[in-house]
Amino acid sequence: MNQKNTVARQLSASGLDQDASLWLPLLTLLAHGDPVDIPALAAATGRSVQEVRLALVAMPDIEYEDGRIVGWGLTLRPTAHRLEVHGEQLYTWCALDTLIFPTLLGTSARIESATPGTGVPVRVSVGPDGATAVSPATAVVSLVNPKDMTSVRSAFCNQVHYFDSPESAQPWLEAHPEGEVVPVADAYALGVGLAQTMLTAEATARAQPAVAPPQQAGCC
Amino acid sequence: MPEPTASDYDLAVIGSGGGAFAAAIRATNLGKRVLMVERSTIGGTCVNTGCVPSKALLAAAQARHVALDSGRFPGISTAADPVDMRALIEGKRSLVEGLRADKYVDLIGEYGWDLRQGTAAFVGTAADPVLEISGQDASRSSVRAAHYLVATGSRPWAPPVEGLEAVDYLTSTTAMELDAVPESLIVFGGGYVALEQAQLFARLGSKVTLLVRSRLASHEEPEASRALSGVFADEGIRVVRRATVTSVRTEAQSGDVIATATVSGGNEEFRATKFLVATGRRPVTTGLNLEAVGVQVGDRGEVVVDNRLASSNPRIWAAGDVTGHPQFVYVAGAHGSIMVDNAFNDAGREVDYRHLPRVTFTSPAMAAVGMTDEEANAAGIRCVCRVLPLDYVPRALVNRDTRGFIKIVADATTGRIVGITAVAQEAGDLAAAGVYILEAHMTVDQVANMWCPYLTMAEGIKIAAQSFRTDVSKLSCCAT
Repeated sequence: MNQKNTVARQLSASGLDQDASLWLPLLTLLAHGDPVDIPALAAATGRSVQEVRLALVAMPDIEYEDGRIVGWGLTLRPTAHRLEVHGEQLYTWCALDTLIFPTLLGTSARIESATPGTGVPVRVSVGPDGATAVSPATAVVSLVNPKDMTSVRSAFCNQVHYFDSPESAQPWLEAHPEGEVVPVADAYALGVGLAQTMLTAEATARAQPAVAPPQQAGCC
Repeated sequence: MPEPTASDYDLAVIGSGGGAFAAAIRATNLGKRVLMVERSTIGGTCVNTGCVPSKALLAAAQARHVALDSGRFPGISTAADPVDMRALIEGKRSLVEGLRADKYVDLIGEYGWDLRQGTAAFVGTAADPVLEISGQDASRSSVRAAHYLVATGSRPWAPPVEGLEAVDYLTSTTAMELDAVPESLIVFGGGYVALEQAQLFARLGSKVTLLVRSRLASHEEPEASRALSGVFADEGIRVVRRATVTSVRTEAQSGDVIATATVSGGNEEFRATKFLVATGRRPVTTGLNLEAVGVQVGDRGEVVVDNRLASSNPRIWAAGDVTGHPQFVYVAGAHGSIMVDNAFNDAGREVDYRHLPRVTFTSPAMAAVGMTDEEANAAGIRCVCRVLPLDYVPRALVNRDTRGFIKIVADATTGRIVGITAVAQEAGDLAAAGVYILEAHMTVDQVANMWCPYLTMAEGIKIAAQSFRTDVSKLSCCAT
């Protein structure tokens, strides 16, 4: 990764501040393309329904429809960032999510997003060979690293976009001097690193089960 | 009202599709005097605007797709030029005309029943129904018959959506008459017509988006929906599930159609050069004046019939799509002959859909016979299922296309097979074999030990049956 990507390095160091034992099963269920009811999530996590409900209370950004979960980073509700997995049309809260979730889900994916302001599409394919078929090749991803992540969606996700070129991202950079833009390949490397760190931590936690309090939502 | 003419028939048939022809042929063979009344083109939906043209175009699109998809075979490289849509449609038209002449129009003379071109409506009373026919030349005549058959079919139906009526939308009928491949196409619906039309136009070169309320083919097994979603994704078709279309409009500047839909509580706009509505078909009964002769009509306009296909007036019968029963031409054909046997021979024959095969002619195709897993459970059958991915079917392996599956639903107590569903190349042939399996009340053990030719897709049924007792990943070629 480009060493000048200071925000990217900070994000890489901070990791995905999520309750992986809850989030990863939920991502897997949501990836099937249907709303997830709480008992199904409880069954997938090995927790009681009550425990899951309590844990979810601490996640203010979770999207519900008719009492069922439709989004938490990965969402069934339309956003600017489309993620196609096994034929299912899914969406994500931010551009970086599209580059994290394929690794978390262990799958390839097709991504399509729209450049803010112009709507110019950015398309990326993600698979075992990394991020391929980036179109246009000049596409970049914007990154921020806010201190207050009470609402991860407004603090972080809403600022992390695909742009078709660094030039297209210039107005955003001027409005967000603390942010930066990185090529898609660098953003993908960041996403894979974050995902692998979470997967490793989750595997370790499963090997040594311990009760931990639900964590505040962090980077989506 | 004009005086009734001297015309007198044993059977007067309204419509000229598959059900109408089956009835007319059967009745003529019984020596009955038959009149057929048709207000439009002879042949009905199947040959003119349904099965025949759609499968003809799908076959052409398949040829193009195979050329573009040859890369999966090492050493093979082919390409395909853009589609000459005018020539393709003209070829389809010619095929339809030929089949219409061979299988419909010419048969009328060969069997010798009467045909009148005109619009029919009932007059008279329930006890004495009369058919009034308004000819295309403004002539009018009245006909009395011992029995009447309503076989007027169905037509594409569009749901009430804001702005839809103001949009020049396509149906499957008009889409197959286009003289150019649309650059992009939204297909509204998720049933078999929507699936076939979506893949047809994608393979002809359109960028296709499917807006689906629940899931693809929602009445079939969920595995079928997932398999087809994957196939469509591979072909660049975007399938948006849980989409409720709330409004449609035409953008003045570009001429594009813009559909707004709610998707899982959010909103999204979809844009395309053409918008195709494939949200089902509804029976055609308007203008028949069925109420006047005591024929009950249902909420969707269907003629309400009993299992013998008699309406609430015992002299008036119905066949095919107009009954609201499964919309397959082979159902209409069966209806036609059952109705005649019941009307003239008092045969007491009843329709029975338990082993009705259902095929959607996508590629790979989706086909099923009998019950789904959910239907078996709802029927109180304690069932056991196996889903065999096509990775275990040698035919699929040599085809280098293992997308799809074969699912068997069996009674857990007896082992009797109660349902088979497949997504596979030529899955329709598997469903045909499935009909025999279900009719013969065969068990998974019987099917697992039957003869079956190697390297056929139908062998997959045998392997799926073997999977109830065997780890099929450890099977050798043909070893059982």
